[in-house]
Amino acid sequence: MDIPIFENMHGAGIISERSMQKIKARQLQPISVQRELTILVYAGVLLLTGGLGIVVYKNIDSIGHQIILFAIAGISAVSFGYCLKTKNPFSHQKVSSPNFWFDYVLLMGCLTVITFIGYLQYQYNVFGDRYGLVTFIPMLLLFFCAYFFDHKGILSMAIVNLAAWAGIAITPTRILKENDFNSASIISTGLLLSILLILAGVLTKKRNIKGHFEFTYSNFGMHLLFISCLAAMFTFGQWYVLWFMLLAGIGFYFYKKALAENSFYYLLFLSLYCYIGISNVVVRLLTTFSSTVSVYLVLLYFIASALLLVFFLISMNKKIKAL
Amino acid sequence: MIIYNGQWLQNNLVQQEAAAAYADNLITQSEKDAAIQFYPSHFYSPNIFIRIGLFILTVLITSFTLGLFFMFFTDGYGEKSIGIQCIFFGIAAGIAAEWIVRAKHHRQSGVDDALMWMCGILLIAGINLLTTVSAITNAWIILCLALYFTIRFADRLMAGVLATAIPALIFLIIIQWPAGRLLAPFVLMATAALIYIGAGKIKTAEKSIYYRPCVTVIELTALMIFYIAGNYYAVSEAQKEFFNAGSYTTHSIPFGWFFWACTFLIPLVYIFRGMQKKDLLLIRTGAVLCAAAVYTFRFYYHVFAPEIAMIVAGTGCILLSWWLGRLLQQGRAGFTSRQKRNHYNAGIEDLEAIIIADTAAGDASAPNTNFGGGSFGGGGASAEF
Repeated sequence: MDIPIFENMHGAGIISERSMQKIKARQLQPISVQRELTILVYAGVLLLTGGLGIVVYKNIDSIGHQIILFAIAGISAVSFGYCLKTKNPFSHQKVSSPNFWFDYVLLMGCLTVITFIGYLQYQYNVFGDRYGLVTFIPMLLLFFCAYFFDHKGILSMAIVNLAAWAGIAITPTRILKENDFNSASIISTGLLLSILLILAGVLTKKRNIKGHFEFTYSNFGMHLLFISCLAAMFTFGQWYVLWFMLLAGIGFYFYKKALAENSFYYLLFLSLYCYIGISNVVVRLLTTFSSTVSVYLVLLYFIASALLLVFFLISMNKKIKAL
Repeated sequence: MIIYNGQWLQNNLVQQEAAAAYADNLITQSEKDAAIQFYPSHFYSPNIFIRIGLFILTVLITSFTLGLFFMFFTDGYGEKSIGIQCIFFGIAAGIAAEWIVRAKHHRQSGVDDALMWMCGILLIAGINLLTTVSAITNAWIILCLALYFTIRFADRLMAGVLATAIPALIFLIIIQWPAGRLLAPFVLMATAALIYIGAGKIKTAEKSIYYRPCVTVIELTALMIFYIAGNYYAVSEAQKEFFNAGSYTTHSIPFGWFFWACTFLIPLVYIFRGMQKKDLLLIRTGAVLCAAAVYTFRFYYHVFAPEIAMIVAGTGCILLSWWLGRLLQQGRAGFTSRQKRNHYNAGIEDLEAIIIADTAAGDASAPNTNFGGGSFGGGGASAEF
C-alpha cells in the first residue's frame, strides 16, 4: 500500500475517513508470510512422499522394508486422522480449510496411501492380474477425499488417475508427450473421456454440488476434447471435413461458455485450437496448387489469418470486459 | 525517456492500489469505482490470457512475413542477405512497437511485448549473421538494447536482461587477463552488490515511480548473481569452462574455503536482512538459495542416498513450516502466518490444483509406474491399453 496515493485520494474526497483509517491501520499490521510457509510445506510433502516412494521399492528385499511400509502407513494414518479431527463440517458448497497446512497434510495422506496400495499390488499381488484395479481403487479414494475434504488438488489427481485408468496421460506436461495420438483407440478414449468430464462439470454446476469444482472438470475436458478432435483430424485425413465440423461445434460450445462466464482463459484456448483446425483445412486446400505457388499462398494465409485473429481477440477482450 | 503518457501511468498506479485495497476489504466498491473514474487511464492493457494470445500471434505474423521475404530475396547471397533482412525487420519491429504504443496506446498488451523482443532478437541475429562479432561486442549490443527497452518501455523482463548483461560484460572483459581470471568472482560480486545498492537508491527516488517493478526485478537479478558468483559449484565449473583449469581437482579451487562459506552464509544473510528490513524479496530469495546451497553440498559430498536426502529434507521443510506457522500465529517481529486477504481467489486455487496433479503424477506414482505393472500412475498407462 502506497500511503501517499491514498492520502491524495482522501484529499480529493474519493475515500472516506473510515476507509483511510483502515488503510493506515493495515500498514501497521505485520507482514503475512503464509504463502511462503505454504510453499515450504508443499515442497516438504512432495520431497517426503517422493523419497518414501523410492525407498520402499529400493529396499524391497531387505528386512527393513516392512518398517518402511509401516512408516508409510503410519504417516498416512496420522495425516488422515489429523484431517478428520480438524476439518470443517461437510457441505455441498465450498468448505474452507481450517488452516493453511490442512490441504497439504491431506495431500500427504493421499500420496502415501497411493504408494501403499501400489506396493501391496507389487509385493502381494493383491489385485492379481487386474491391473486396472490398482489405478481404479486409488481413483475412487481420491474422488472421495476430494469431495469429503473439499480439495481441488486431490480432485485433479483423481481426474488424472481416471484418465490413466482409461489409458491416457492428461496432465499439462504429459498430454502431448506421452500419448500416441495417432492411434484410433487413444483418440476415441480421449473423446469419450473428455465428454464425460465436461458433462461432470455441467452437472456439478447445475446440481450445485461443490460448484467450485466445475472449472477443474471442464478445464481437463476442454483440452482433451480439442486435442483428441484435432488428432482425429490429422490422423483420419480422409474424413477431415467431418472432424472439422465437430471442432467447430466444440468451439461454439466453449465460445458460449466463455461469454457466459466472462472467461478469457476459455476464449484464448478455443481460439488457438480452432485456429489450428482451420489452418489445417486451409493448408490442405492450398497445397493442391503447384509447390512454389502453394508455399507463397500458405505464408500469406498465415500472415493474414493471424492478423484477423489478433483483431478477433482484441474485440473479444472489449466484449467480455463490457459484459 | 519513457514512451507512455505520464499522467496515465500515474492514474494507472492509483487504480491498481485502489483495486488492491478493495480486494483487501479496505475500501468500498463505490470508492474503488470513484477512484477509477477520477483517475482515468486509457491504456490498452488486456487480460493476461489475451496478452498471451496476442503475443503468440504477433510472433507468428512477424515470422511468416520474414519467411516470405526470405523466399523472395535470398537467392544466391546466403547468410549476408538473411542478415541484412533480419536487421531490416528488427528495425521495422522496433518502429512498429513505437507506433502501436503511441498511436494505439498499447501497454503490456502482448503485441508490444512481442514486437520489442522480435526487434532485439532480430537485430542481434542480423549483426551476427552479417559479420563475426566477439562475445564482448555482443554483450555490449545486448546491454545497449536492454537499456533502451528498459528505459523506453519500463519492461520488467528487459530490466532483468539489463541487470544480467552488465556483470556478464564486465566478466568477459576482465577474464582476458590472468589476474582478472583469479579475481573474477570477487569483481562479479562487487558489481552485483553495486547494482543492488544502486537499484535501491533509484527505487526511493520520486521520479522513478514508473520503474519500480523494473527495479524489483533488477534487485532480484543482482541478488542471484551475487550468490552465483560466490557459489562453490558455479565458481569451480566456471574455472573449468573458461580457463581450462585442468590442474584444479574438483575439491580444490583457489580460495575454496571462501566460496564454501559464501555458498552457505549468503542465503542466511539474505533471510536475516530480509527479516530486519521487512523485505519479502530478500527472504524469498534467501529461502530458494538455501535449497541451492544444500544442492551444491550434495553435489560434492554424498552423505545420504538421494531418496533418504529427500525424506530428510521433506520432513525438515514440513516441520519448519509447521513450527514457523505456530510461532508466527499471533504475529511476531513484524511477521504473521495468518492470511491478510480474506477474499477467495479462484484463479490461484485452480492453478495450484493443476500443479499438484502434474507434480504428484510425476513424483509419487512414478516409482509405481516402473514396478506396478505398467498401468499405474499417469505415465506408463498408455502402453497397457
